[in-house]
Amino acid sequence: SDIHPVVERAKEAFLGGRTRPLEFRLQQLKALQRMITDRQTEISTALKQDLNRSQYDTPLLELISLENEIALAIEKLAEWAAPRPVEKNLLTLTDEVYIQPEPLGVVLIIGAWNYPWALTLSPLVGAIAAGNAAVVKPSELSEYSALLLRALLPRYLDKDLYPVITGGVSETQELLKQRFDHVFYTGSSAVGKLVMQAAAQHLTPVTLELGGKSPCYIDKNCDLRVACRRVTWGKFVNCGQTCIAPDYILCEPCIQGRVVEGIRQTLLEFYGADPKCSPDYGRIINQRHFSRIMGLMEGYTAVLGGQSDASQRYIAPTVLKDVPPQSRLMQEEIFGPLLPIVTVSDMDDAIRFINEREKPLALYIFCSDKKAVKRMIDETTSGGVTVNDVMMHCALSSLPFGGVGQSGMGRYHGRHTFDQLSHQRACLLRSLGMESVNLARYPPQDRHRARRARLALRSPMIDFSKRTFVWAVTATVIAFGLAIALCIIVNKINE
Amino acid sequence: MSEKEFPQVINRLRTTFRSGKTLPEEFRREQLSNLLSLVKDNEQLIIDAVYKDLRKPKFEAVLSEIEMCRNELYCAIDNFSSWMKPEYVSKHLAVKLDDCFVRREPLGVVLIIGAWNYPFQLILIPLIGAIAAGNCVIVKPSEVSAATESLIAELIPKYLSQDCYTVVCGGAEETKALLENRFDHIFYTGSQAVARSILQAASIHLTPVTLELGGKCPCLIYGRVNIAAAARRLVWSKFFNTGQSCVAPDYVLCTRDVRDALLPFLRETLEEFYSKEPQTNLDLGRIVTDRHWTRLMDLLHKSRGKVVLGGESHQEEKYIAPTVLVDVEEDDVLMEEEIFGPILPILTVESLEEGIDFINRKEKPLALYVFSEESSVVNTVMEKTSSGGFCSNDGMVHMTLPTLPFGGVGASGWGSYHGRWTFETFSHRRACMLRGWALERLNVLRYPPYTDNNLSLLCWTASAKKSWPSCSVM
Repeated sequence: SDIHPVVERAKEAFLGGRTRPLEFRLQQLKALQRMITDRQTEISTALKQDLNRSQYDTPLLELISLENEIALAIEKLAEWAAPRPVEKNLLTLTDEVYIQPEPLGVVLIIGAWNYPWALTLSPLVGAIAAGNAAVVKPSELSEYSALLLRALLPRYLDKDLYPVITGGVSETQELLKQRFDHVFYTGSSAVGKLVMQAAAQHLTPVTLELGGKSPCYIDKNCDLRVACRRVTWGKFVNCGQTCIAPDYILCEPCIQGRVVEGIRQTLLEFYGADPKCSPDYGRIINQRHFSRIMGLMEGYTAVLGGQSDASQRYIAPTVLKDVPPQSRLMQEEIFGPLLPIVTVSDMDDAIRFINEREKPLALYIFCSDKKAVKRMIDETTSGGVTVNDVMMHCALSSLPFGGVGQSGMGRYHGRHTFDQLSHQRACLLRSLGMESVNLARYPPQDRHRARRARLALRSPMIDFSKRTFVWAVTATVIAFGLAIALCIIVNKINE
Repeated sequence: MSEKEFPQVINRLRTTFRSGKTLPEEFRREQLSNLLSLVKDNEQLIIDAVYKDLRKPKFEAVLSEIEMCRNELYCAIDNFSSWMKPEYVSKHLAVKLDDCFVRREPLGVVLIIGAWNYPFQLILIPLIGAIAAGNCVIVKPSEVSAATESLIAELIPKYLSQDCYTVVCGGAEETKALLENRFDHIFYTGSQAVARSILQAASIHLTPVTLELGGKCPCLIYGRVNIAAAARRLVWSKFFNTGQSCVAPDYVLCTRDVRDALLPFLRETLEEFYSKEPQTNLDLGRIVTDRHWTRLMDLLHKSRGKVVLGGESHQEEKYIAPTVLVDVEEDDVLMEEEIFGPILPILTVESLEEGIDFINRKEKPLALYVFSEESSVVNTVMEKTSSGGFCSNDGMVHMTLPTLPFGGVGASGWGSYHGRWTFETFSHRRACMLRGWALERLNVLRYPPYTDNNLSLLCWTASAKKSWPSCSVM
């Protein structure tokens, strides 16, 4: 296999130093931006073949966010890569003390199939910005996208630094045997464990963007119509194959009927009477997942939807009510267009239900009572939270996006990707002068020296950030000026 | 406590955590204050314990074990409530009316595994951050520093809430048994070999880790430099704690001329610090165990370098004199692994480039030192190498500043801590977006049935504008 030489070549290229200058990184980012703009049609076609993605869903779901990430990185790169000064103590008063972000080296990026472009290239943006080389391994399940990426990326980016390796399980295993400086994986928790285990051999740090069952609690005190519309949108976009899709609904029995009705009305608005004919409704990625999802439904009667067509890998938007917590539907992440409703007696019951389970990637709360919302956030945990909508916390790049517990480790988006794929190196630059200050710490030791050394180590921290310094100087000058003016006035009065 | 009790202990802590006991600010403040009292009340006991374990001189114990912990405690007590506050982030126009912030939340039950070289500090400083972040903690001190281990096991339950913080004692067997359980974070200080097995154990539960490891910290001396001052700082940082520091300068790289100029100053400084009879001098410590003493003596005997200073030893006392060797080559036995003792090899290079290449051929170290009064030299080395931390014209002091993150990169570790960084290590940064019911009209743009008009409008509202963070309406 030619995996090892490709990785070695990326390492050599990195060690050669050409990713260090910011101009190079900017140039690569701009090239990536061009690739997405120039090739939008081809990318859309590939996505249609992979997931029956509509021509609107592609820019909406993947390309806009990618373009925004690239634009942000280009705009902010100099700021992100600059040294970050920190507060000093007495001992380091005259020294330069700062944190310098540095590239890690060669990063392995393993993409996922549900948003093959965004989830593979978004980490790449941060990797490039941080000055790393990156080996990109798109998911083989989104076959057309993988092959297209392999054809396109080398035409726009540096071939040695950012190679694309396609393939399946055996290629991924081979890749994971190589030594990287960071592995960024998006996918399932089961495979996430294997990735972490493989990386452990080389003590390689990892970022794992995993999944889980993201609960969606709908309180009886909320705008039910709008809630149902937003939930329906989030659930059935990309045919439910989104890591932060609301996996299941929790609500009280008294509103269950209205929730079902709200979803039914919305589905009609969105996809018409027969979603199979709607150009805006997607398909399941492959036969295996189709069978898996159909299997989850076994034994339950859908209250909405339920139809399927294996030849098209089509599953209608489906809602099931009164689902028992111990059913198969509630054991694994659905990742498909099935929406179970589990009833709970009240918000406390919902909180208990959520806390009994693994920490999810996202939590959704629909409730108009701000105090109750705060309580629910305080008493639960999750990767992220969106209240009164779904998935939107993922769409703001200033918010860190990642999981906790089984839903993942590490975070990215915007500046967070840059930081995640950098080493924050602590730097202290001293001079050999002022040795007298140091004398207290050397042996031979006595009480006086000891006390002086202790004092030097102590704080309070002195904030030498520019703003504070400027303020302090200005305040002093103004104070002096006022004092002098006061003296003059007093003098004049006395005369 | 026997191994069989571990799952129960962890469950008990987990139940306490779930009850929310560790969450309120008042509780955390109380525990941190109690921890401060622990340090203040028992200063002499701590000094005695580390003296017993490492014959650590009182001065060193006070500086590295007591003072550093006190500083960290003051830093945490003064600041943790602001660390806890939600961090509001910049917003795009489309979410301007929404509450967007990052919440720091505790992880749950965390495990802290300490090391023997700074047995008190390496437990306490992570513990401070873990408590401040609202977690329950299992503390596993190193069994090698037995006196400190017992002291910690005795004091922690006396000062801290026994429902939330437990000390587990034991060796490799007990650690292995402990690791079979599920934690929400594992904080480990120690060697790479053990770190690998910890990472393996952690991957089974997808537990995030912080690994504070080691490596060979190079010390480059080059260009115009005040040799006397450099020698002083080098000797201090190398022989502090008898060389048993993860950030001690492991070996020196310099030109022949510098080496020749350096040696007399090293001799002079060693005499000044530890007198002509270092073995009887109270300011010099000892090697922690017979096993490590034997390991070091073995290295010394097998080395093909020439001892020019020191070399004396005494087995019963676990004493090794501060020793300097020259004519050490890259393939010498002393250059194979982290020395972790009072032995300083000096290797010669012809140029700065050669020195930098030498360093880059090895694993990324925990710390990298450069002694030079030429800022171009310092900057070149910094730019062309990588290391956990970097310090010019001194050794080790960069780790005493709580505002600098302390940790390794590559083989020297994963993650960082000290000051606020410890709090962040033991926290989950939860992204929160609180929306309202209004602006549903804007949302309508994203819903099917899709149209060209809606799409263009959406692209326009969602496109990244200069100096606004990007927001894509998915």
